[in-house]
Amino acid sequence: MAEQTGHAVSALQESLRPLLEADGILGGMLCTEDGLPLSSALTPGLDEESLAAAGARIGQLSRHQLGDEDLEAGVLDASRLRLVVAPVSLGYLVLAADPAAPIGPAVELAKQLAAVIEQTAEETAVGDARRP
Amino acid sequence: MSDFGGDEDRSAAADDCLRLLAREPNSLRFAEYADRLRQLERLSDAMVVCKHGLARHPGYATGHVVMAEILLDAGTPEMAAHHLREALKLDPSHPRAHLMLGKLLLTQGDKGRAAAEFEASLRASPNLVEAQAGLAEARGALTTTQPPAASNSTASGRKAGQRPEWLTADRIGDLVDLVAARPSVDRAHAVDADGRVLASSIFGGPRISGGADVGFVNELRGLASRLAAGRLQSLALCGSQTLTLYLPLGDLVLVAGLRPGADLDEEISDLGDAISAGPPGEMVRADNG
Repeated sequence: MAEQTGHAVSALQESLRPLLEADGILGGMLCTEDGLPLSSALTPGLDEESLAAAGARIGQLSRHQLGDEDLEAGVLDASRLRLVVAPVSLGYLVLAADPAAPIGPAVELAKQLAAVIEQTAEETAVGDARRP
Repeated sequence: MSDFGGDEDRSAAADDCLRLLAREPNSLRFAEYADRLRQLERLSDAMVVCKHGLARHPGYATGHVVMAEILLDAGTPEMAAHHLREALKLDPSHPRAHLMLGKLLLTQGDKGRAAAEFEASLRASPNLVEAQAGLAEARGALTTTQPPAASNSTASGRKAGQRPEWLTADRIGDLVDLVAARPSVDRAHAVDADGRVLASSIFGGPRISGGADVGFVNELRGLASRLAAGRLQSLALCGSQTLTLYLPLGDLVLVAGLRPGADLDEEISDLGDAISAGPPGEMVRADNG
């Protein structure tokens, strides 16, 4: 189980890397439902643990606020930093963005990336399950 | 003290609170229930509810403010002050926390620091009458009760997250009408710091939980502060069926449900401008003034 998670996380790391090239995106990470960092690609100066804890909290509160409806993304927009959080089966995808950049593209990117991560996690899990 | 008549009514109302809380034990509404229990003079119940709530949500500034009110009613001002300082660590602009700390300092005869707290409260919520009165008292009623000017104001006189000058207590309905009239907005309502829904564009339909709205915004405001991410400007919640914007305006929270396909960037920018400018009549008034 731990080995499977390890394979999944290294595959997910690859999915996150292109994020740093997107306009206005300062980085991204995956964290567990409890706010533990799993994998990240962040610009220097962003603290992985704080971001993971914050992302999970935003995700939890957003889900609670939505009730029965599924969360696609939650956005916290503050004067110095914007966080976009999208749920994935491992926990949450957290994007850190420049607040001066447009929000819409960051939300779309988070949703698309969450879908890619789900697919990667599924394929890795299937691959791991087939390994002797 | 409360709206409840006889002892039986009070007891039924308190039981109702506890029953609702039992149904949603992890909810941020613990602060609302604890405050209702406090108003019903069930102080020990209020304290237990608030203490348990804060154990689950230690970063919820309003929870600490409610705890402070309970402790003040229970006659323990030192412990109340501790919770107010905790609330201000989480949310440095919490108007009610500054107000209560100001009142507390005033009772201790520290007029200088009390005045500073009332000023901080008025910076976040210029129309808070209790803070205006407190400031007048702290200054010996010799000076004006005009709220201090907000620092770093923009040309429109309002920073994101602050309440515009035109938005007095009697004009919250105008704010909601202004926002709900936008073609991309499906519904809107405004909630005060205590979770009371002050105005709503929807009559009937599902009940709006003002306590949950204000709790959501306050907790994330505290989180932004702890992350050193700066002042909270807005929150957006993209659900599978709805898109909702939460705009903090000082001690108020404006909630706007957007129609499918609405452009988030355009909405945040246009709503911010519209709120700063006020209803159309407001612009005419300002031009003539």
